Amino acid sequence: MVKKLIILSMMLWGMALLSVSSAKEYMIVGARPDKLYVIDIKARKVEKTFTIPDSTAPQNIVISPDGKIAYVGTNHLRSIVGIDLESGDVVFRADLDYKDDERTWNYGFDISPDGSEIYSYDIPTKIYLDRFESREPRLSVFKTNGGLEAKPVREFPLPRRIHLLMVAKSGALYAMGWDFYKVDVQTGKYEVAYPLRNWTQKNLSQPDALAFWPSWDNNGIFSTPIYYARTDMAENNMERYRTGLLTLDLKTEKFDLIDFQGAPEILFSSVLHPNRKTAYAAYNTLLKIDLEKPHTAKRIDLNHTYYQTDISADGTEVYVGGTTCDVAIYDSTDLKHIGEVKLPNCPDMGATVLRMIHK
Amino acid sequence: MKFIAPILSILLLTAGLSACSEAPKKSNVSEAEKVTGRTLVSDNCSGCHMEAEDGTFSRISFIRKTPEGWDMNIARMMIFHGLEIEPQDRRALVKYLADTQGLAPSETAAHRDILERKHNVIEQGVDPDLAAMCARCHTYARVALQRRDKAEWQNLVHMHLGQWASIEYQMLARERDWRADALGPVAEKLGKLYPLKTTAWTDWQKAEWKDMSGSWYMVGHVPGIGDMGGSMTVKAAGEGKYQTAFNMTFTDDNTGAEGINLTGMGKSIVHTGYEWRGTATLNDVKYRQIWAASPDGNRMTGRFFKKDHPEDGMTITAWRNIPENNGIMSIVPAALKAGKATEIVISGLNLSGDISIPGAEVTVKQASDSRIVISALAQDGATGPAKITVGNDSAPLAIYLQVDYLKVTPEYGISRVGGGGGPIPKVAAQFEAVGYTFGPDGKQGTDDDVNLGRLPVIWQVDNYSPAAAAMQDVKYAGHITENGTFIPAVAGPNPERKYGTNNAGDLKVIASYHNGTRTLTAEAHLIATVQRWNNPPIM
Repeated sequence: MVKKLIILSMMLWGMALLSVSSAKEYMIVGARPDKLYVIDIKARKVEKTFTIPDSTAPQNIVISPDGKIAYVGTNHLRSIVGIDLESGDVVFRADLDYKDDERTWNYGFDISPDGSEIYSYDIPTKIYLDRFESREPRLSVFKTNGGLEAKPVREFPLPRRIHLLMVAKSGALYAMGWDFYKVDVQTGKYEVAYPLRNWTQKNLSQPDALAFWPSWDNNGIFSTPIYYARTDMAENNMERYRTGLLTLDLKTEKFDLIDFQGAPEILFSSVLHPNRKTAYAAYNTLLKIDLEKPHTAKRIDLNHTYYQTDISADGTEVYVGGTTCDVAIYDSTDLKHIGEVKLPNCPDMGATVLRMIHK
Repeated sequence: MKFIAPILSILLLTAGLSACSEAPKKSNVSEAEKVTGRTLVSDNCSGCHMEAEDGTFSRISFIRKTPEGWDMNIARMMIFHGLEIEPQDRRALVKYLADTQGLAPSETAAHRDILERKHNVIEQGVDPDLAAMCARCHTYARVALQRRDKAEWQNLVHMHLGQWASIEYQMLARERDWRADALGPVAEKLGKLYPLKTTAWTDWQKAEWKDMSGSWYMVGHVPGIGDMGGSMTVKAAGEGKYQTAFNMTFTDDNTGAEGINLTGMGKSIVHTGYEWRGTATLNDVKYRQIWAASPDGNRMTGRFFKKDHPEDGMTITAWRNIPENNGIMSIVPAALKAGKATEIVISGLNLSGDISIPGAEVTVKQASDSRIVISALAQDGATGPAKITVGNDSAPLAIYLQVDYLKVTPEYGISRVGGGGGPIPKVAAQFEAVGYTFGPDGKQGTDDDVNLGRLPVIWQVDNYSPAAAAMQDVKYAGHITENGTFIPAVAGPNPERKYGTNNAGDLKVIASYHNGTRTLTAEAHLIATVQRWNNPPIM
């Protein structure tokens, strides 16, 4: 059964690749204080540079399903701005402090499969004249046709400490926090889809993972490095401390945990190859991870720290970006450095994410 | 009604008489100062902090803090909430709030190191839960130097949640329900540990806060340089302010030789009756004083440090020159090698009488009532604890045959990269090598070991671990001077290094002491790390 599913999913990915093979592949990234770049990644060239009005620090980027609009989280988590990727026009804006007495931070947002709604995880604080009152976080649902002063059309309470939202192909919303929650965007009802803080994995400690990186554009699967300890191993045994990859297939909505090495290094992000046989993870090092016999097959030192790992649709090139002003490009087979894209005037990418589109 | 008035006046007269039977105590904060202070609060703060019918201002009246704590509060109001206030009003507000809502001497005693900006402090004895909750971002002292009741501690938690977006997501926060823990058990615990109303504070408000003017004698130690003795003359300038004049002489604690002189003038203010804060220019370098007076106002302790390099400074003990303050304040060096004539400097106040060291010959070379220089020679072969006597006072002195082992202090040091065109200067790390004898039991590391003071050593640094060696930390992180000062390298990414990383390093600091054919060595651990971008008065 599992084999059949794998074959099926590979066939589907093959079809997906066929459909994009004629399209050109672009990478979308942001940089402080107010820039959004469209990079022709195979040509290693910044094709377009847009200025986001009233912006300080772009972080999350979500692309509309038709690839035409980039919704950029900016202003230190306090605004979501939709930019038309052809014209650079602002077509949507939600400044989250729309309630007079609140200061609100967004810790993740994603878009519905039909592109009509944005789901935003918001953490509000009520501001009194002489004090603050921290309020319960909520899911805010915005209509993408909400204009330049968009307000949520639905609001539902959600648990604290969520840091990443992702929408499955079915339209189900997943939220990663203390646990992985599945949220009904119509009713706000949520359930634990995959326990993390409350997991009951035999002989494994409470895990630690703080993922902000959407690297599922070219493989349909969320993944993140995750850390935990083997409680059945001695404390002085360094093999006790483990690194795994936690994955969520956004089509089948199945989770998986793949233990692949001890914990010799910090890894911020990971990406699966479209063939799902290998994965890549990065921070100061770039790892090629063999998922079939889970182990680190190759490790190289990077020139500097990079936050996000991503991959081309054909699986030949691995990209690392964020932190400074360049995207470094590696051969996915042998991790040979094969290119780079430097953003003009070397702006600070900070914690901006990388997104891959085809057009 | 008519007969009530005479009775009332008799009652009032009686009450007045009974009050007059004790000497009327002058209030530490005058009515005029209170009126001026309240006006400042009203003018600058009441736009947001509403004044209640009982005269309290919301939030403000329910908190007590150190002068630095209040000043940081005002800074936060300026940075985050748009308060505009003239510098002189800011200073006056700090003075009024620290005087009327400060901390008693006993309430700050455990956390002076942080208040004094001492470098390299590892806070001890902090409740692990409070350490994880509060002291992962700032010192625990920043918490322990405030007084509030539970509801106000909860307001502080809400402020943190509303001001710092990542507070629940950071390491040591994200694995717990940070908000629920902070608002619940932690606020409860802090309200009990550090409540608004305490007897210590009530008593200190009632105590007589002393005028600090007069003549003072100071002794102090500058790590890596030596010991200091000198005078501070203090003249009252009104409203708790003073003018100061300094004259200090350094002594090399290895050799007893006289070193440089440091002189200059300054200005000081006393908050809360004992928190002495001064600025001074000594030999054209700007210094700061953060000292605390003893409750009787006759002694002070604290740090004197360079304004631009708080890590570079000396720990001071100062005594007011009054007859009651008499005796030895310091001996440099406090160890005498048997069979070798050694120059020793005795500093103190109102020193008089015979000078002797049992078991040693003493020749007086210079003597005043605050500084005596002697040459001492202990008999060859003598060893053990001894004492130096001046008149009726004495202080311990060690006589030794040989140095048995070394220790490097601090055992765990920290330096920070800086400069390189950035706004943050380098922060150096100062080490000292101290000699010890094994003591009577002949064993190292036992209570009877005798501290022989700082020794002249050769300094080196090396990689602390194989990982540091792989990164070539010793090549990039900085260098150590012959005085044991580690000077960190320049800030910023270094393209020469692996990962293009900055010039941080994990190093060991090695001291070697050569004594004839013997060489003793000792090591300390040094983290040569990155800049602190936020350097508030209470870290």
